[in-house]
Amino acid sequence: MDYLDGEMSPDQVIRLMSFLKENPDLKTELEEFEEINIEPDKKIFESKITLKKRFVVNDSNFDDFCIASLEGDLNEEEATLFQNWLQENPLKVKEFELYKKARIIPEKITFDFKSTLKKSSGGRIFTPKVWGYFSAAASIIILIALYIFISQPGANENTVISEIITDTTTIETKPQTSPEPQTKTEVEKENIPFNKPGDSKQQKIKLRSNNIIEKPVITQDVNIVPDKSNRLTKPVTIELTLNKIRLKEINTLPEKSILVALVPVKNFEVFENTYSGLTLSQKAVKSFKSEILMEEKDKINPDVLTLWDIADAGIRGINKIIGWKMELDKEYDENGDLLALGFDSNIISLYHTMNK
Amino acid sequence: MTTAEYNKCVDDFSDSVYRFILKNLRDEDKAKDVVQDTFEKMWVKAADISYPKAKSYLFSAAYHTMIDMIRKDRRQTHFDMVKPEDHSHTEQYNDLNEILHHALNQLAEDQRSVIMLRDYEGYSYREISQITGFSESQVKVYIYRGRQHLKKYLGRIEALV
Repeated sequence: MDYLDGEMSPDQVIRLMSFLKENPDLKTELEEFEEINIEPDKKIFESKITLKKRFVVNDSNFDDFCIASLEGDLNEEEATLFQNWLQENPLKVKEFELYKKARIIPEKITFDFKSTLKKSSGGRIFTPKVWGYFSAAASIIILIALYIFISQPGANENTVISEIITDTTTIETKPQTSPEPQTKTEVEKENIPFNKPGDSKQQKIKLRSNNIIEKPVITQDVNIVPDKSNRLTKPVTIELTLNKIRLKEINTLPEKSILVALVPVKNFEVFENTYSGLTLSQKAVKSFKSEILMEEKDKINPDVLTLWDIADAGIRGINKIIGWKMELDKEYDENGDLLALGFDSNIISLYHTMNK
Repeated sequence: MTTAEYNKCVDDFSDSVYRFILKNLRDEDKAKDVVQDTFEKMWVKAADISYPKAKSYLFSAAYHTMIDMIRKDRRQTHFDMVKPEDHSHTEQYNDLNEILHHALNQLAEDQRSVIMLRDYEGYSYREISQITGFSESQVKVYIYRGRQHLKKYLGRIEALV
């Protein structure tokens, strides 16, 4: 049977044929099988059409046809069928008309604030919400930038930040045997050459800086006394100001002193001469602009420090940190009034228009 | 998308987006907020969105912003803050469109949104699917159910008249 069905391999066929040669009676029997051959007749199933699905509109699917008709979901054949069905059922026409009416006609509603959405071709305008995020980010940038600039004032390890000679005071370390409580003095870390106990010789005070100015730390317990035997009986702390050291009976270093110490001045006397006649805030502004913004000292207006200047410093700091080439731009109108502030880089370009 | 194209989008589509949101939220201030947020989102992604795709993006972003807002409001609304007059109708209808819009307001949010996208903007099932995130089958079902509801509502009004 396998031979007749063609299921045998050539080897098997060869072996079968050799076997049949040896057994002629079986060969005759096989030949009888070969004569049996059933040919497929050509009859067809004439009721195929009864099996096919036909679109029929009836009460149960009428709604579906109505909606499908309105939505354009019916093909040509279905649409014709539906229209024919409607003609045969005039009562349903009114219902179909209701469906037709149930299409929403757009109202004439306009958005009257298009101008607030539009953007200038120069760049992006931030809404107050977005501007808030940007402001927060800018604050962080400024802090980082200040840190960078402050921590690299151009001073090497031996650079004198300020050399201050007091006319009226000497500093003397307090003898360990003093019965009074010792006061912590906030001065510069590790570099104040206080005298040894008992040495009351008048001297200069030199404040030195390492590359990084660290938070003032408590280093030595000292007692500062006025010159010429006016020895203080109370422990005091040193307050650094721009031009002198004063003695005050306070226990904390004022913030102004810290600010002064942070100004990256190589020589305090030079600093003094450069900024003489200015108030503390003016000195700070002028120093900030000359040292950080690299403006020419002669052209600096010490009375004005704008947010722009601070932002500019922030951007310079970021450029320094990550090697970008970002810039802040200003746009002016014909009258010279500031129109917009911009922030431009290879990656992003941001602009903020100024309120008039 | 260039700035000019973006601004053209504002001119061309802000009305329709605002209308779509306003009809759903029925609150002008909130609708304006959604439109603002939507266009801001598009501006942020302007580099990735081409002008031909802008309308679809705007409706999609607006729809999802609106849904978020509705959900947030729903969480914040207490029962004693619900005013019965907001959910009843006492005014006289002037025309068919007014009746229809009242009927529209009574639809479920999903049905209302897809019907408005269909009728107001003429979006296909597929486009509505992309905007709303529903499957095409869902869109079709929502439209069918919405239309049936609108038709029944109209039928009841006509019967009363």
